[in-house]
Amino acid sequence: MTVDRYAELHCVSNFSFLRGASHPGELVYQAHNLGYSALALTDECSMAGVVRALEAAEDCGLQLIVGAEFRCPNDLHLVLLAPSQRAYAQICQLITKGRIDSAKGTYQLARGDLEKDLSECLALWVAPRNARPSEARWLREFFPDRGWIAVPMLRRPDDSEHLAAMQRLGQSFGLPLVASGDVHMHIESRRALQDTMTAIRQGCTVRDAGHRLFPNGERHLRPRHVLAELYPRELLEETLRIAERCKFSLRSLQYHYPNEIVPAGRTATQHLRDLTELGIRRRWPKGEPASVRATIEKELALIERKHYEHFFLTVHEITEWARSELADDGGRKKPILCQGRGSAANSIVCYALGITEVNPEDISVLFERFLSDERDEPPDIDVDFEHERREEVIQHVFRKYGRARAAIAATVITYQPRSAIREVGKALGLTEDVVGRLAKSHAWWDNWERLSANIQAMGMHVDDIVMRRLCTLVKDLLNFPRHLSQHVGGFVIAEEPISELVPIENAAMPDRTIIQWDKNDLEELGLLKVDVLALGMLTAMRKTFELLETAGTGPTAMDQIARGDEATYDMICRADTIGVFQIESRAQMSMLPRLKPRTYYDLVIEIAIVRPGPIKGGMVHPYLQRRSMRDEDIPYASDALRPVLAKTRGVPIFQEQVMQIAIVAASFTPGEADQLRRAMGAWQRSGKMSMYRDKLMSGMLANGYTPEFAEQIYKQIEGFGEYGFPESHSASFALLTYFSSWLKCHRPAAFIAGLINSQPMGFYQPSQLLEQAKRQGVKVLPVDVTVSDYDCTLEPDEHGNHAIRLGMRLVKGLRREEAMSVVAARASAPFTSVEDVAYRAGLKSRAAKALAQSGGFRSLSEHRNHAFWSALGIEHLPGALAANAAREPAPALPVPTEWEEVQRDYRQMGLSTGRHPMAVLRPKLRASGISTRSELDRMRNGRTVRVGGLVTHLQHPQTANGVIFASLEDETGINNIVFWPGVFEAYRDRILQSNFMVVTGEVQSLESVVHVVAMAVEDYSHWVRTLPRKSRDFH
Amino acid sequence: MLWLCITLPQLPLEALQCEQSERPTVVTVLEGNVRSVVCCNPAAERVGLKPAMNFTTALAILPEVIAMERRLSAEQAALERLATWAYQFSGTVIVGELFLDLQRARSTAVWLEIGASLRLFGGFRKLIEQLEAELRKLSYSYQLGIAPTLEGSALLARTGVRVAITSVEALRARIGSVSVRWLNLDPWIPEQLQTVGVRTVGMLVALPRDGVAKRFGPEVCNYLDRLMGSAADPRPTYRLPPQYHARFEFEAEVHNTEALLFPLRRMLREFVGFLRARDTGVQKFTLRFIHRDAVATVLTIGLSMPDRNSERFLALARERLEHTALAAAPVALELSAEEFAMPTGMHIDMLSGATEQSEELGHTIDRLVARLGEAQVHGVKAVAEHRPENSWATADPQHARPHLDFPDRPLWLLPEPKPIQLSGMPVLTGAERIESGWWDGGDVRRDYFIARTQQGAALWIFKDLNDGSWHLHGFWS
Repeated sequence: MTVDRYAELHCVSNFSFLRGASHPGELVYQAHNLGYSALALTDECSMAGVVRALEAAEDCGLQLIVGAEFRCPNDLHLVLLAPSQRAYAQICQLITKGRIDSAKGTYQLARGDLEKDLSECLALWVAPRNARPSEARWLREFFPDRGWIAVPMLRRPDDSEHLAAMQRLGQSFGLPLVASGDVHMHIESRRALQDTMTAIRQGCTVRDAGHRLFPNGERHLRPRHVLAELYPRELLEETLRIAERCKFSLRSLQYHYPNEIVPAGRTATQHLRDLTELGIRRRWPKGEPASVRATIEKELALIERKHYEHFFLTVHEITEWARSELADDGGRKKPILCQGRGSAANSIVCYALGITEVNPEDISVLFERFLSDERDEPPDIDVDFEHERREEVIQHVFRKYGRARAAIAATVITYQPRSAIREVGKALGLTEDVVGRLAKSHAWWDNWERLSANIQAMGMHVDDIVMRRLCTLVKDLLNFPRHLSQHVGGFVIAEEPISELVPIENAAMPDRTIIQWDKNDLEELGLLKVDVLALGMLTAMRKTFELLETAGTGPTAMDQIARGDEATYDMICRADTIGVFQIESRAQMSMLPRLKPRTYYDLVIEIAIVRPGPIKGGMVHPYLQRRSMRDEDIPYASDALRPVLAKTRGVPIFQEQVMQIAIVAASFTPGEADQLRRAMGAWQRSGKMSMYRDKLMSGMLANGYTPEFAEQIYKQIEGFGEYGFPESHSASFALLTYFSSWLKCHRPAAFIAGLINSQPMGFYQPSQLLEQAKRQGVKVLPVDVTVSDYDCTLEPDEHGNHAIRLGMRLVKGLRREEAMSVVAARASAPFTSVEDVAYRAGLKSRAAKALAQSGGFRSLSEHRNHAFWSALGIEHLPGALAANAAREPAPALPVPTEWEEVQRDYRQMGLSTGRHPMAVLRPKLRASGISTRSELDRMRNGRTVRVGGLVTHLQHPQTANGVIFASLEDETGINNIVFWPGVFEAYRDRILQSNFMVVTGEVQSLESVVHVVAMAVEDYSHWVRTLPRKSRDFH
Repeated sequence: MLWLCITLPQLPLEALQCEQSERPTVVTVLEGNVRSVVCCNPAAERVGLKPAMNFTTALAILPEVIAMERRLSAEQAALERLATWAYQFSGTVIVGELFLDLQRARSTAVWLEIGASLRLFGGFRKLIEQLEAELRKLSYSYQLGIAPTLEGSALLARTGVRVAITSVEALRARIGSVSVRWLNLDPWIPEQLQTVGVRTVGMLVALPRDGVAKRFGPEVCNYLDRLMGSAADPRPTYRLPPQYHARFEFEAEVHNTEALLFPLRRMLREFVGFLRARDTGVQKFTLRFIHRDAVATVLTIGLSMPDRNSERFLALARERLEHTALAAAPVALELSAEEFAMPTGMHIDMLSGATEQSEELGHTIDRLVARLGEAQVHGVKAVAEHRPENSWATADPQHARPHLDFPDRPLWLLPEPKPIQLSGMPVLTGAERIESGWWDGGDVRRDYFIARTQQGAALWIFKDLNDGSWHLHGFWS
């Protein structure tokens, strides 16, 4: 039998969530392998998978047809295909229509919706077994010459009867029949997964899913000779005629940036130049240097050639709006701090436009990273805003461009081990409890293959075979898309309605709409995206400036802070950086004393070097070595590489440098180098890296580099993978690092208060930040309802320095509104008693108890026990009785001890203004021979020591080969503990459970970084039994 | 009144497991989303597991710990068995409640009024000695407390004060320094009391009564009154049932006959306690082994004369057990006795009635069931399953059958598909592919056909897609 040609026109991928059991790419490659002429990806009311399919189709050279499948009431099951861009836009709008008025993740379409505005779409009607002639008539009426009856032959017993019935129906209405496979998976062996997904979708077990499962695995891409046996030849041939008509490609999408940001009568080019020139005069009041002028002209010319003016103007508009005091409704608003970053952000144009504060003269950005002629990739600008106020910016964008023209990019949420285990486990009939334990057990750093072992270890009696099934299915389901969520802040803004470009659907948040494509999809198709991101540090800095403004000391803005301050760099070199932006992590802090940053550019390097990329690539030590060398002694692999690597002393640290090496050493074109960068990000998924590896190695060898050097460069690129850090981002971050360091150094009280007022954010909790402030000599005053606000505030101490008055926000169990009503009630008259506060502020007993426990009534009550007794007795009497709650005599209650006070502070606020718990215990600790953190500084290397403290962090970095780090806080500082894996295993339970740990170990100090390498661990938690464990573990 | 309180701190564990396991074992309970440890066996305590510990933490400490789920029905059954047993020492037995909260899960209690029994047993010490000797044989962990009030004796038992207190005054003096966390109150109350610095019962009693009632509810004051003997504490007493019926639920199926003997021994001892309390004996008792999916296995143990010796009972039961094949691993064990000392006979012959012609199906079914036994008569129903052999099931003959949409299926399916050799080229129609069932290990991949024999019979045959073999699966009428 001759093997016919065939195009599959009805195929859903795993973007038809919990239906399709194959990735779009898998489907495309399989269709190609089977010699199909074309494949239509027709996910149910979705275009979310098409760009991935497109990439695969272009890779293997298969014709991809774009379409979607729809199910309407009364069993109308339709596949729409796009022969043209117009038809594509119609399908996108239909999807949008179906989804925008429905709950997230669902859609609803009435028959009427299919009767209009689909004038160019091709329609395949998947007729049911008892199809009515009226449906055929409807199809002919609304899709004249564009309608087919799709007949799937799926080896059901009545297939031939159905085919005959459809042939009769087709004949009487003049509708052609076409073969289709209702494909749900690329190969038959995904049947079990497909059944499982059906069960998950139906919320039942596979066993109970019964007839909701497909009766067989025929819904896969079948070999053509099999199809030839099942379908009449003319039905197969019809698929080709349809495919022939569907020549539309997503590559031809036309997209325009919004026009209204350009004033009437000006062109975008002129307007951008006007704004740039204005900025230049502001940045260089005495006239700009010639080199700056030259770069600006080069940049503007390139922007014009690439038609990116609107992009820069849009970003400029958003940042200008954020900084202005004018709200959209004409009222006043507080300015919002923001800063741009990214390759395009670090251009002189962006500096002139005020999008960034980084002076491009301070760093040398690779011009190719800014924009290049060769690449069709859009420019990259991320703008960070205060995290608490980013929502305002987002709403501004929606208001300015309208919901039809602005939407947020999607993030595809995929199945992770936990969610996959949970859902597959339930579908296989494991109990909720077992499934929960399985999923949780996995939260430790075990990799998922240990699942089976874990289950045995937990003493659960789960059948071995069930376990094996679970593991196999989980493995397949991992990384399957699960649902679409909103991207952290990537906006697409267009001149025309976005729904003609890509379907829009609802996000989980009210008033949010997202498009069905994610960041990579947008990038792949070259659509411009503006990233509106949230950054906690900006919030903290604004709050710090506000506190300083109230206190009258300033500074009140970033540009008032002097650059290059010696005291600030001294502090950074001491690694005294808790709370500071980017360099506060343990890894960063251990690097600072060795790297000794003294300039802005040192900070840029510091931020980029302490990352998994450079660490895995083995960059850190070579760099440290070379920092102490004289310039002329630094070896370079070639003279050509000297300019590329000189600024990092011969060691590649930034992503840009890796690209530049590829260009200089391996003869890549700038465009290829950029593709290399993108492959780096996705290499684990796509496996495209091997292609670049060959090119890179042969290129470098051809240029006379040694194989070792070439191998080393490749290793670095691999290590960079997902984590490589671009200089352009580091440069922007380093500015914030410097400013926050300066504030910490010179305005510690305001800075720490600002950080606490911006919680939750950052690496450290309020208690640790306050301990830090105390160590810097800042006085910390306790919560007191007679003076505290919701936020922390500044008060002068007895020396006229700033002291931090803790705010009621720190009291757990007290809501913001309750704290605010206390503040409001206090404004009218001073409080007289606990009952008075509760009555006038309308506090419930719960809130009053929280305040009592935190010591907030200290000015109104003899001691905390009395305050709590009063709070317990608060009752809410109706109406007139309210003010006359029974006054009762205070009973005799014991006065709490200092230790009890500290414990309650910790329980209610996670911190104490009193002495550190370790200070209270110190006499006992001293007797046990336990040293303080500060004493370690004076000890010689290798000495055995005992240290102890409250466990604040436990970390298990992936880069550390099984080494575990712990931070133990005492009253003088933080003890850094290192556990080798053997020690960790030996003391596993103590390390995981203890909240007061004592470690015996060896002091290791290197360039003023002090560690204790643990040899033995004791759990002293019983000494502090009532203190909660506050460690943040293993994220 | 003088109350002896027996608290059972390990009841959640011991109600599920009689023998001491060397493997670390815990009983856990799920509260909201948090699973916590209620009880640990000594092996678990040795590795550092503790009651009230978060189960996730326990797992981190000992990943291979054996965890059982707390089962209130098992605890209730154990408590009632114990109350029945206790009757041999007292005519007034009170069964305490089971607490759901984690804090009090380990303070379940049984009370015996012993004031009236003292003389009978020859004094205080003798009574306690005898009681403890018997109690230990049941292998429960226990604590005793003796006081003139119910709550007083319970408080002493919980705190482990093994001093008999016989007057209310002495009780008040003794418990003044006891921590409030031992009080039988909603756990939040002691917690909040400690928060205001009220740590002991003495401090609590000294607080103004109104203030306490306002903050913690009047029932707290009432409880303190009952504790101190200043208010009456009437409670229903446990009534000795006229017939004996006890049940022990296993935590999981018990596969090993030897392992059945632990709970059996305990149950027989408790049973003997009951017999003593009734001052009688038995000549016949029944053991029922309950299975998950099969009819219970019943062993009736007869004796030549009335008796009440647990060791002899056990020996008899053991012998019978060794010669009995259980239908499956049992999930529970029941012991019952209805006749004490004097057996009476009663016999109903199920098959003696004459069969009459009946018009109604219902009656016919009833008769069939009566005659053949329930297990022999069943109806069939359709099941939503693609595999033909799984697409039907037996059902209650009287039940309505659900309507399901199936492709045509032969009415007569063979119990098992039968391998066949296809000779010649039969006419095959009605091709249908079925691939389903991987989840229970019975995955099938088959192409079904209707084949006609020369005699005109229509056979339902399939080709196994895994190995290409042909099978006959059914006949079309």
